[in-house]
Amino acid sequence: MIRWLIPAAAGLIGLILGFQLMLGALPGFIMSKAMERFESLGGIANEEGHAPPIDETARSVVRPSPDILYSGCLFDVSNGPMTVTAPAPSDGGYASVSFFDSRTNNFAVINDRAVEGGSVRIILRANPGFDSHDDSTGYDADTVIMAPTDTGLILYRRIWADPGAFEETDTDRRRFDCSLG
Amino acid sequence: MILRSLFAALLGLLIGAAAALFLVFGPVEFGGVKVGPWRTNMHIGSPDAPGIVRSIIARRGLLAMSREETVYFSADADSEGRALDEACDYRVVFTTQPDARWWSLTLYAEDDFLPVNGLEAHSVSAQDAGDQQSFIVTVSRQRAEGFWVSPENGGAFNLTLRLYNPSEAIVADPGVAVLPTVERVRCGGAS
Repeated sequence: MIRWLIPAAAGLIGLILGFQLMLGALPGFIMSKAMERFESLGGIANEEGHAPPIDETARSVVRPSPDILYSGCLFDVSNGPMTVTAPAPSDGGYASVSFFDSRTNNFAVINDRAVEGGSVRIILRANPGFDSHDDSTGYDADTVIMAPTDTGLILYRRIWADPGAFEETDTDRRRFDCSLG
Repeated sequence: MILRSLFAALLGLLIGAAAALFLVFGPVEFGGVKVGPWRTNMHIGSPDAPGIVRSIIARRGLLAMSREETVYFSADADSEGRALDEACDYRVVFTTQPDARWWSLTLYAEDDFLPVNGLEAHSVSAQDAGDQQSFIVTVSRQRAEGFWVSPENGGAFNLTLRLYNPSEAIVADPGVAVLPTVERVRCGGAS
């Protein structure tokens, strides 16, 4: 009987391992593909890009919203922090800037309600790890955010539901900015 | 026996990986909170999402925000549980606007992108509804009066209802949200 028990146990362990390994790898793989697509559309690390209004030709990321104008940037904070400037809509509408690590986790969101004045200045820095002193002071910023992974993606969403106000809304959202330092 | 065990382990590894791929990329929906035909997952955008949930969200809702910011409800069936089909007409009946700062209803083709049909009738939002609380969104390939979205070339399409800055009650329990019903009117001329 042991002739079959040991192979059966090995098969079961392999099954569980294969299942878990694949599930562990998929989010990072899907995110890396999304970041590659962003780059293929002209996106550069640590520099903002502004997507055209979403229509039926949009194929970069699943379920894009045609009511939203998207801007974004890839981040790589391995060599130093990044400064993100996100404007609050002048018309009082919804806008947010959301941060995604390389495993798809949405580790921070700031929306226009949290913004005093016309825009918010955010420092994104590498996570110093659990054994390092976490010193987030000394930055010229409204808020400091630590990235769980060195690379990832930042997405600025701005509601655009009034076709008559497109130019004004588009000009306004282009104040979204990412830069090193 | 060693050779047989190695073969079994390798076979198990492959079957396990294939099963994970099927669950993530196959036509499988499970877990989450249901409100009528609408479904959402409490773990969207969250780092504490279990592996299978995280993978499914990465595939179907990449770059979605956490529910404290936005709650995403999706429906791939009508209120009687029948799969949505572009050959049918539907009425999405709102008795009140969703309890959120802003919302939008968007129709996606079965590939989870906007259907390619040249009609530019993909969504209805809070801006369109204005002060109205009770209203109907028609889902049909033929142009309709009032609020209308077209499923043409959408196949087995789905609907996504985004609630931006939802009420605290919905953040705590999306199951309390008052959401529209999805009523099938007719299919291919038959009701």
